[in-house]
Amino acid sequence: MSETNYDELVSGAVEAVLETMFFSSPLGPAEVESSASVMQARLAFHGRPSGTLSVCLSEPSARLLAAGFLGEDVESLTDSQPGEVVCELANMLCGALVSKLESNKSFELTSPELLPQNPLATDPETPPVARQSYELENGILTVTLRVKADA
Amino acid sequence: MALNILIVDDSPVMRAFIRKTVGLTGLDVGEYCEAQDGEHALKLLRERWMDLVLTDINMPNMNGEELVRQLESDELLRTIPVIVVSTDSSESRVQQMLALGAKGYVTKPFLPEALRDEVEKILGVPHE
Ligand SMILES: [Mg+2]
Repeated sequence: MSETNYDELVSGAVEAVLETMFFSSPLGPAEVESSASVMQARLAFHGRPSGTLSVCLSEPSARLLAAGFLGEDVESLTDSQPGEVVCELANMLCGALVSKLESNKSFELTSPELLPQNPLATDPETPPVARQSYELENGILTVTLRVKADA
Repeated sequence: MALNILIVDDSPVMRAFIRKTVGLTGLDVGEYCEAQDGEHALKLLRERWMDLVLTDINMPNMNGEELVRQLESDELLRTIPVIVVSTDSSESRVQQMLALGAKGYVTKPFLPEALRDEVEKILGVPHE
């Protein structure tokens, strides 16, 4: 493949996933949020190429997204549902992205996991190829894509 | 006759989403069952009859590919239609799963109507 426009891939996936399954859409680009109460989920993909994708958003945004996804009121969500929805958002974004990166071959995704705080800590071994933040109705969604160099 | 539907996905919120979406079809659903992986799904399928299986691919323990293989190798269980619901939209994966015996394939993210249409097509439910 020639030059891959990772930013375009990420924003395309974010729009597609939010609009089809969350009945939401990004309102516009935003600055990376450095608030303390954020939730972050990450998963790895293996194939050609391999890498990781993580999503990070504030707790209130996670709760709103979860409510939209499940068709429920924010008040009736269980404690675990916002985190589970953030994981599934990461899963779908990663699937949508990787399908575009390698449209003819199948790939393996690991199960997404919620990470502890300090979510934007850097990984010196693999700098991100794309990190984008979007303003949502009630907070900021940051998506970070890392792609490993071919061994 | 009411149909029993098994939803297999390692994400509890995705199982809930799929269940809600199936609820939008014109299907008369008797019972919904849920399993978090292929192993759990097989166990449930050996205990009670299901009329349709909707399964993810990427799951721990036993993934959806192995689940479809296991169902196909069972004389009775192979008659149950399986629809794959996966983030993997690669043509090779779709063809592989259909060749293994799946009857339908829906890529996540999906519009609720896409899953509804696939379920109704495979079970032959007329549109109201
Ligand atoms: Mg899965």
